[in-house]
Amino acid sequence: MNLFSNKVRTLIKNNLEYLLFIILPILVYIIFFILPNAYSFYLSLFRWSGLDEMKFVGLRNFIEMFTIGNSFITALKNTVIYTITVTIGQNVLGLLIAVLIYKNSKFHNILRTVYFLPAIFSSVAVGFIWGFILDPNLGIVNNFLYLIGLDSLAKAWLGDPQIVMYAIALVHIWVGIGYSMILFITGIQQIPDELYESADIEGANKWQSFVYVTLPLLKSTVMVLVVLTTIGSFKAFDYVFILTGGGSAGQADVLATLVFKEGFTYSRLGYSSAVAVMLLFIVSIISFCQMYLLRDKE
Amino acid sequence: MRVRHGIGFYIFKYVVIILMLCFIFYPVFIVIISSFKSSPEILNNVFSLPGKIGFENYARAWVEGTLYMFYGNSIIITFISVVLITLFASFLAFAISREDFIIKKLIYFVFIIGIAVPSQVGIIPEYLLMARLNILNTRIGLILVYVAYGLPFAVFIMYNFFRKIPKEIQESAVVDGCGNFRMYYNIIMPLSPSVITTVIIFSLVWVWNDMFFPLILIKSRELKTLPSGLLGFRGEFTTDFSTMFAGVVLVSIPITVAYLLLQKKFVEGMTAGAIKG
Repeated sequence: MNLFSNKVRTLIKNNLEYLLFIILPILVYIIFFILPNAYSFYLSLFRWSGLDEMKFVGLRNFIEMFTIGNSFITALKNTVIYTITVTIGQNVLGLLIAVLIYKNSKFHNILRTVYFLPAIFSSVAVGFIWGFILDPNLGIVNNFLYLIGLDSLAKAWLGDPQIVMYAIALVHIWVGIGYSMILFITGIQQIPDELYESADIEGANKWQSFVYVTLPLLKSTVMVLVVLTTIGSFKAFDYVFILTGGGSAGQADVLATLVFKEGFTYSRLGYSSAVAVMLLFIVSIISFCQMYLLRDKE
Repeated sequence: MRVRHGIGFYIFKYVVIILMLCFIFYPVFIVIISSFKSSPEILNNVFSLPGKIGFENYARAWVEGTLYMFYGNSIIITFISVVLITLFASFLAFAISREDFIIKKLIYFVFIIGIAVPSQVGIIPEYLLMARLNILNTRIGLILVYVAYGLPFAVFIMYNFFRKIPKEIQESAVVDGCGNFRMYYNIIMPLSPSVITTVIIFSLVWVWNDMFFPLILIKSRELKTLPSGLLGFRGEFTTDFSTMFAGVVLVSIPITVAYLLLQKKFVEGMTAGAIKG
């Protein structure tokens, strides 16, 4: 009996001590993270400019996204184009480089350092650098094209709605190649040498051993990277905002910049929150896939 | 691996390596070069080298652009945020890694759902909340937001490390009469320098480089951080490209130096979460 109550007493004492550990962080987290994000769901059911009376409109904000105007549809389409371009570009190039420099040597290490470098720059610095490269008049790309006589290829890279998303995706790829490369290198280095040796004995050439040995064994790395880049580019805000501000008439808007613009430029707080909820909804679905994949790995 | 390569493979390999080096490094190179040129020089010929190496552009970015002020703010805000994120995450991860904590699953769940939430989702209520609490446009407000948004991932990383620490170590400590506070301070923390470094670097790179929260929550120039201050250069030095590029270089120097010195730790910190699920 005494032993039992001792056990209970220890349990209570321990749990009270754990609460002491978590009380401060959990307060900060609930007040400044959970509360605002949850409040977005609530706001998405209202029409509100921030100054006038809040008016409950049910799901009308969500219906309007698809029925009134095309800013949401455009932003969704742009986000999807952007995400697909970044996910394919970043991972294909990252894999290509990884396959070439996965062996540890001083030279390869220096190359890895350089290829990863853009990932540590602030998005504002990156935006200014690429704004200069892609500028229609001043820019490096167009001036280079004039220099070699290909004037017809010179374009308003960030102004033409047909190409702007690909141009910004290129910037994102520039930043992310090193990240994909590092994860692919880690993956390739875990493949046992014997597999390549037996492929070699069976007369496989370099390309065949890549297709039949490397690729299948990198399946989990590929899956993780595809999910991570998809989430990363679906949430994209910075490069789009810095390089185009969403473009004239929102032709270059993605979902995240649309949330910003509707909320802080047009003061349509309810509608902006509804777009935010949609963004969160899509990202959550992709994240669940991620958790599932990572759990599978362990 | 000893697969024999033909000469064709080596040509392919070095062509790809060189093209990729140009793609990655040329944009950085051209901006560094341009930061030493005068704006007329840039407008005249974007490819030319600077006529003379001078630091007037840098002086202008530093003094007129008030980069010195943004540096101060960034250092203060990043330092406090990173310390708090790391400390708080270690408290939380410690508590939920204890077997007998009855609400450990709930707490873990509450934090894990925050990992993938884009910063834009709660930004309007965040703004309204800050205004209501009278901490809009203050350093403390910005720091609280960074701590709240930085915790989920930090907790995730730390918890996954703590739960792999052998239980026998902790059990024998309990038998020796070790309480929870000593357990945290004398047993768990000394075993965890690697994961602490990971969390520090991950949050440091994020907070130092973030432009979104200051863009929304900070209005006064005196309180802006480096990225948000640099963003303002576009309006202030509209046609003065050389000053803008000097600003880009000045803003990027400290993080680049840190990266080159602590390269392995940086790569580990920034790819954490993808490798150890």
